[in-house]
Amino acid sequence: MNPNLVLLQSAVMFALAGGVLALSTYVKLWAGVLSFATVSFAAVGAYLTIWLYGEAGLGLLPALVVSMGITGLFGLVVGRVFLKLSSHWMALATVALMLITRVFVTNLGEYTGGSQGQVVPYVMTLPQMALMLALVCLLMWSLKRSKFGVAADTTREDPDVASALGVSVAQVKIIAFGISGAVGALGGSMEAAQLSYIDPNTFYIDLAVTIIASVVLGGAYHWFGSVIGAAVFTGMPVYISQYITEGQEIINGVLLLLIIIFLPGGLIDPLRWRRFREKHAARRRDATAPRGTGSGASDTEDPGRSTALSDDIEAGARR
Amino acid sequence: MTHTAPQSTPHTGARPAGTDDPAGSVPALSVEGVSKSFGGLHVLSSVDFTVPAGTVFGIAGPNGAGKTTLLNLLTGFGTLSGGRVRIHGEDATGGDARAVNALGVARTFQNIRLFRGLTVAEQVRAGGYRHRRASLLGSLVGSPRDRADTCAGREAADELLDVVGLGGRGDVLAETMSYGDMRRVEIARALATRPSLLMLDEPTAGMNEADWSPIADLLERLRADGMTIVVVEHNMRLIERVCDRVAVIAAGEVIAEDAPAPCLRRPEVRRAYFGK
Amino acid sequence: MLLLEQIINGVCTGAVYALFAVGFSIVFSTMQILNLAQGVYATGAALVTYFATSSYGLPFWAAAVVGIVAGGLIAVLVDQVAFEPLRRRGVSLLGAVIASIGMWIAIREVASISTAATPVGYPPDSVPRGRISIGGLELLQTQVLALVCAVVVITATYLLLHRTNLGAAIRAVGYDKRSAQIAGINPQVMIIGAAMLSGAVTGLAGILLASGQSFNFHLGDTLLLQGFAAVVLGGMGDIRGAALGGVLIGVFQVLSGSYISASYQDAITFGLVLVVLLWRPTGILGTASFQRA
Repeated sequence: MNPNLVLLQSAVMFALAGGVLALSTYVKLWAGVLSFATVSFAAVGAYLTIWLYGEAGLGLLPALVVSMGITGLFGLVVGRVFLKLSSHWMALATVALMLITRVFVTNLGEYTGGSQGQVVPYVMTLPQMALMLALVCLLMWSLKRSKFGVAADTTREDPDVASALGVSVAQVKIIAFGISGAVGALGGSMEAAQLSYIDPNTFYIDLAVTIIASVVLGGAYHWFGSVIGAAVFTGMPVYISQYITEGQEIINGVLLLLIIIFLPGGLIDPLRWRRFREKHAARRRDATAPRGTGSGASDTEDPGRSTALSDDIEAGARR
Repeated sequence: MTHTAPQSTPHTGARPAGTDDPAGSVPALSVEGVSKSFGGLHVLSSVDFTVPAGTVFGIAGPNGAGKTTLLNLLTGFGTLSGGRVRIHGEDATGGDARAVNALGVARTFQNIRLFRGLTVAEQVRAGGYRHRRASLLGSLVGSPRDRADTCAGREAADELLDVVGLGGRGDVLAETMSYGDMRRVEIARALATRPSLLMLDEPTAGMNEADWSPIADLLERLRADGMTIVVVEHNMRLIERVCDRVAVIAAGEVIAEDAPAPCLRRPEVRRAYFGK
Repeated sequence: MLLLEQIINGVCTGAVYALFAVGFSIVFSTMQILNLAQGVYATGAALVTYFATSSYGLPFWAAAVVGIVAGGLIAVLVDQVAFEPLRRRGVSLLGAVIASIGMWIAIREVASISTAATPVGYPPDSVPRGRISIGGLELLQTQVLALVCAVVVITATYLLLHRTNLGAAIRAVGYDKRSAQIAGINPQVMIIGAAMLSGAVTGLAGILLASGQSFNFHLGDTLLLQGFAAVVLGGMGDIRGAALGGVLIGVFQVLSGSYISASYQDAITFGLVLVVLLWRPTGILGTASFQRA
């Protein structure tokens, strides 16, 4: 096979795994929580899948399902325990969780290969991985339409008001962690398959940062953005490594900075799209009929409104 | 504090258990000695009043008197320093916003708090959150119940938008609307929770008469349907028009409580407003 | 005696963490930014010191001064490039976290390229290597150096921020930028000054940590994590708390490593951090919370 094509295939597969991991982080951000817990979930999930497949003798699919179930429960527990922490402290707590996970991975050599790492016993093909990402996307799509979607949207934007509408903010966040755990386990298992060899540094700071970057690049307001972001931050580097051998991270860092400064809503930003459509419609209205049918209250009587609506990544941080 | 029913009931459609027989019914809201202090500062001291079911109760007073603080305490935003709140006879003291909502209370905010990035219809549908029955699993597989839910939610939202006078504007991004229209969206969102007790914080702030008059009409219609309404307002004409009773708060204390017309004529009320 | 020695070891290690945590707190208390790029200030300063000694033959002391200044300048660079545009637009705090991640990975890659991703160490003859015997206790000179530097610098920083007009101005900007401006303070100057100070203190921590060992471009990451732990224990935005937190983390690390389990040392430390976070979300001593932010 053409080496360029091999590289492309590998890049696509990394992007697929990265997409699943990014969606795991996205679910939490959806409910207003910035967290690094996804790498911990990925580690737990990957090692569980390896053990279930290699030692317990399950097939790959059952191993994945069981691993996702257990990690999902783990996610619920983490969500419950971390529930009361507000934005930055939550982020710090999940950093601590990531470190603790790594220590356990290093020390439980019998199951994880210890600091030497271990060979991943199973393989996944590109169509299999694509199918898995598609299923996770389907999950996101139905979540968006579900009661959870409404609860998460409102919790992120204004948890106080959400709770005054009857949304249980605590429940939403815990469920988000649970879903994140299950999806993260799948992503971790896919990442492991693609790497074919994993060690304690696999699910650590670098991956955590890449995942967060993917979600931010894609946009925190629509799940599809995370998939695009993952393609850019996890797939593209693999492909362009044939042209650029050094300084990849510099590009990533600068890219991240540019996005947060100039495109705070990310690449896929329904809000921007809606505002654009709105403006367009208003222009059309102005062209056809003179304004004045609306209420007389002017927008200038609206102090502070524009700053309250200013773009930012995660509205929960404002409170 | 003893309480007498308003002398006349301008609306005949009111719930029978409401204004006509206050002695035999549970008041929609009773506020007993509610106080609040931040640090050493007493923002509210021993506020008492009772709102019979099916009536409209106004809260007036100069800026900084503690009106919004009171409304926040009544709706589970913040904790009381003392006193007791009962909603439909149930003790709501110390309940959070969600617990208060579960007792049938919905509210709006003085500094409009709509969700960013959602259209008008989505805002209102979010208000109907509690009444969606489909489970998470049902939504995932797209069960018939989920579809029925979604349909019902859409219809209810459209209806409510008609009620507040925003019919046909469901697809507009709420944050691009005028100030007055955003207040209407907030009211529609509150109504979508199907409350029995509606609390409005300055629903007509910054509006001229052409704008606030429809809001007053709306409050009268809601009252006629039997809803209990507590409204914090500066607009005395609106208060006189829609309220059965009004309490005037100054410096954290209720200085007068009566039917609107006599209440606003009282010397202590005039003093509080005009400083003389 | 062994226990005492261990504790002193821990205090010396903790002194470096304390310096780092203090640098972190300066940024947090003046700008309310959870700065993940803080670690690269330490890496940068340590590397500049390394190049100054190995390539330009400067004595360690002079090279350290150059390194400290470099740490400060990197901090100012990060602040102006990443945080200033966000401050101007009023983006949320988590936006700043993301921006700091961007600077973190970009600068770390520069550090990695400059050392060809291999471990480096100060030339053996440049750093004080001997041991000092105090009352029967054998201590490394680098340890004593770290302790002395930490005490002097942290005290000086505290006095600067809390006992001088300049410090009052910096804190005023942190508390309320607009009011400070009305009072005739130039917030821009104060923010750059605070960033410089933070970078310099953090840089010193990096140089001291690097002086005892060979190190690579990940040096700052280790410090960042330990610094977080210190800040969580001590409370964010308070220099005394951060310093005490750093020392506590150092002692705890050494003690848990020798008496409980060396291999689970980090898990124990960060487990403690988690417990403290959940039990007292503002730190053991902390009064400053994120609520204000």
